[in-house]
Amino acid sequence: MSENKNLTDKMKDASMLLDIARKEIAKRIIGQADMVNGLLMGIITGGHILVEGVPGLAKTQMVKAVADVLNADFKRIQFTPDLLPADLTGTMIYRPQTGEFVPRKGPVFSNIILADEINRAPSKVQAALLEAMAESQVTIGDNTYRLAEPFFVMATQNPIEQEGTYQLPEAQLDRFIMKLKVDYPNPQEELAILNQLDKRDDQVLRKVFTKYSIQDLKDLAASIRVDESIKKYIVSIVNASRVKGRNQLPFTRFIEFGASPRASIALFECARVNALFENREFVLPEDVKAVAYNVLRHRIVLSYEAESEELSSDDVIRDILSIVTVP
Amino acid sequence: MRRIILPLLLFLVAGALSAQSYQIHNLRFIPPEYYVGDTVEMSFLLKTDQAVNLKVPEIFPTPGWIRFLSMDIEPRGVDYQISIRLIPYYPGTRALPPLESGDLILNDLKIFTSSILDSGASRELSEIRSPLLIPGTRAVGALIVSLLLSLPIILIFLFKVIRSRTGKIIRTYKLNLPYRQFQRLIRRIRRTMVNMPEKDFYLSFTGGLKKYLSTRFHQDLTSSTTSEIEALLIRSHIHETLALSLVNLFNRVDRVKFAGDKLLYSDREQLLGEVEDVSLALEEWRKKHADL
Repeated sequence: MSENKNLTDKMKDASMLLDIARKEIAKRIIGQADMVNGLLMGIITGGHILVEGVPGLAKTQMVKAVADVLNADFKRIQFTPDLLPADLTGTMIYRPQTGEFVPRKGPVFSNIILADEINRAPSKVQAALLEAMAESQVTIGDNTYRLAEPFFVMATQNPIEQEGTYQLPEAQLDRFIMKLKVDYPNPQEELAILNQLDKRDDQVLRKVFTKYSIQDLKDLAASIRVDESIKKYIVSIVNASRVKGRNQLPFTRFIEFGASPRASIALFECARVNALFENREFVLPEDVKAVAYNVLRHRIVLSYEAESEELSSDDVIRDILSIVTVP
Repeated sequence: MRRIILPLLLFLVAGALSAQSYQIHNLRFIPPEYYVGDTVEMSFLLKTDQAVNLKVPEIFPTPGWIRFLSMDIEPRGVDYQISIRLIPYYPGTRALPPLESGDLILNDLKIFTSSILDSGASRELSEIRSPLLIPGTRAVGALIVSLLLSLPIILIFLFKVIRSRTGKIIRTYKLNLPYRQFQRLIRRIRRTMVNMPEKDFYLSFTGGLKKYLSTRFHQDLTSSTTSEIEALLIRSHIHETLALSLVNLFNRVDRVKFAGDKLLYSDREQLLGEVEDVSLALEEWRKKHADL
């Protein structure tokens, strides 16, 4: 009973903390609540986020604001075609005074990284970043270095201007826990942006989180109860995306490749954090559904039939969710 | 001389008395035209100069060409209405044999019996004629024919009425079927819930409730979460209390299924009772609002 009481108190504290963080971020970013929640979710789950949206939607501002409230280092890396892996991870440089090579750590050694327009860099650079994301360590010369904790990457992709870009392979896309879609603000939000234009840059955000409070949130999310039926529900959703018989389910013809087991894990973890956001000590099917689009969007490879019918991954995910029985 | 005159005088007086005069009025025959062998009723009003006493002859004459069947005498003041039923066996005009009817002897009654043979025509055999029909035969025939002709229309009309009624009955049956099935499920759960594991109880409970609500809101709710169901209930404009009761049921069950809350046996019983009340209220609402 006391454990439950403690958990309830912790949930309340976490909820308050997250509310304060959201309010702080809102001082600089108007609207985009889903994106802010997505970033926080990524940080708490320890995953990384891929963001797709047209330029000018304050993606950089947002991730900077998040870094500020997290009290974390922030680096922005603009991915370009001539970028090298060493520009990202670092390299050994020669020091003439001592006559030896010393490591020079790259921007990846930071808590929060904005990999801007990740699809503009060649695949070897992408691979270097994705390897760092997967292993949380980087090897420079003969030495391997652990990356900072927390380590969070927000990569962006521009849905337009695909000329001369290097599309991320499906296997590498899978490493992002979620893919968020950022849309234009509504007219009211845009007006509020204009009204706050003068003071926005001067806004100093309160540092709400510490390294330890992030870990506390992670621990708290891990303690949220996930019933067996919810796990089965997650597996059913992911499995539905893999059904091959064209006549078995109506949407199977739109899917070339379904989601991987990593999708199940991501759904599981994100659903837990969503329950945490809702100040609930247990996961509901609502939590799974709430995160399903962001988690599965980049993990389902659509067939040419879907493209010919101009269907998006979201359309197919909606079909999947509408057919899988909720426990 | 006196001996001769007196009897003669008495004879003349007696003759005068017996030959009392009478007149026949309103002579009618039913049927008006009759043939040999037909039964005919001859009726007339007999008027006399003096009061007479008439009575039906005890024995009718039997001349051979006619048979008397009966005779009725009905006084009409000083007159008499007389009806004689007879069957003639001879065509043409003939006088009836005298009928001794009390004070009077009816001896100048004549009848004309028609012949089916045309007297002016040749004696050759006539064409075969259609049999004579009894009165009303044509009307009955016409009625039967019209009935036969209208039978398809009647059958089509009946078929449409039956189809419409049957369709209505089937629709009503189908419309009420989900509710009855849900009630059956509740009864089955109630019977078996003593030995049913807690989770199975709540899974079958919500499964049945979702299936029932799916039919009522024309949307598959098996893949809907509680918050989605809540949104649907709000959109459907059902009574707020009813919607809240349903959402409350789902929320309580969600806590048991996903949060591991423990509920007593009595709670299960209470839950079943509540869902019965709510589903009944929903049915009543549905009947009042056909668009639900």
